[in-house]
Amino acid sequence: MKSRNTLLFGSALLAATVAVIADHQANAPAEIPEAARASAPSSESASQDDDEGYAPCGAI
Amino acid sequence: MSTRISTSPPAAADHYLVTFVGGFILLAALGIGLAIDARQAFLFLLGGAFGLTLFHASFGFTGGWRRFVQERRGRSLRAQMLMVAAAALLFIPLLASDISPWGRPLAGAFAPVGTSVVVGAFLFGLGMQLGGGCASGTLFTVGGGQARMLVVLAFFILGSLVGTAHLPWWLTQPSLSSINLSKSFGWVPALALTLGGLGLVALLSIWVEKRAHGMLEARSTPFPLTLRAWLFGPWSLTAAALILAGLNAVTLFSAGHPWSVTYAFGLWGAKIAQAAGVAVGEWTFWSWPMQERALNASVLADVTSVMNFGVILGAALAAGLAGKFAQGSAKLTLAPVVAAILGGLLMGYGARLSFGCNIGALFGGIASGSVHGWVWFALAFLGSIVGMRLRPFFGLDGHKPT
Repeated sequence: MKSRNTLLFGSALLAATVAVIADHQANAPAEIPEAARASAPSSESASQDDDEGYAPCGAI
Repeated sequence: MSTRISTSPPAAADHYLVTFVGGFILLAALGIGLAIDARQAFLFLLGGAFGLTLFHASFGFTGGWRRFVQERRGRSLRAQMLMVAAAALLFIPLLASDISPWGRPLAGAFAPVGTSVVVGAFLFGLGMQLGGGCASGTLFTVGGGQARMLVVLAFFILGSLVGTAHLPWWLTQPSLSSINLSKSFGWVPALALTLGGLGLVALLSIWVEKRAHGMLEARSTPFPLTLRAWLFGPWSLTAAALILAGLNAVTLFSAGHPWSVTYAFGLWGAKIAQAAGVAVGEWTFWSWPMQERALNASVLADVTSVMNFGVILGAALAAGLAGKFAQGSAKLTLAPVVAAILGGLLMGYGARLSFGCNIGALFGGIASGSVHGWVWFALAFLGSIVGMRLRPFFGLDGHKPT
């Protein structure tokens, strides 16, 4: 029973790792060209938009 | 009297598992750090600390509530109250302050007190008894190698996804707005009210236990005093309660919000559905700005997701250290699997309706000074009692109806 569960855990871990990597590849933000980066607003100010004070389990 | 320090692993420790999972955790932290940023890697490791603590103390809500209702033993319930009280001592003053780490204010777990919370918490409580674990319980038992809990997790994700489809309708049902005790009364009375409420629950559990048994149950696991006990477990519930409260305070400070678990399940479900061709992005819930952004970003950028990954792996590491990986897992038969499916679906759906689970709504909500946390606690407990009545019909070791 233990070896079956270990195999199941290992398979689930492998599948989840592949899925996470695939999702990251598909959704990772594109590289910003150097020139555009220079004129883009800083990430500090960009983070203070509508997600300010947001908790995932709090009110939507 | 001196305390002997021993770090030699117990004979039962699974060295291969510890090496593999430990190495995987380090590699994953490095990968997250490179792919996202150092803070996200830290939150992943913080999730690992949560998982290790939960596993070493077997700290779960489901069994504790069942023991209190069926056996009139309240030790676990009191440990839960201690955990929330310790967190409230840190959260309520912090949230009332102007501290803004990372350039944004800290956000507590606040939510409206309405129909969706009442219905969702009741369904969640019912589901956690059928599933055999709440959200954090599901994660740490999956990490501990329990195959049945993988079924619960899969249907938890599906239930959460369905919950995101229905939540906009539920939010149109009668509801009060969110009630923040600190804003209503000031943070000192809010803290006093919160601690008083938690103390009352603990006192009630003492009264019930003494009435049933004449005395309180003796502590079965001592507070870990040696390095060996800290590494290989088991930990006492008191130690775990205090550590979990501290870790949640670190989460609040580093993530900007309290520890949450179930939000990620809905996100994972939506991403899987999207990959399968379902136009999830057109659903009302997933077109709200924050949800849309989360859906279209890497899952590694989601705080709750990386912390959940950490919880599972941290629990697996603890299971390896304690030599308890996949221990006590029985052969899967139809009735318990059906209970796992129903439990997962009900918890997933209920958590989405009620803005979280025992962690996000009860732990985070009450410790933040939000009234919805108390409503969640009461309704989930009620649902849990119904769930205990249903367990025998699924061949689970629950209350036998007379």
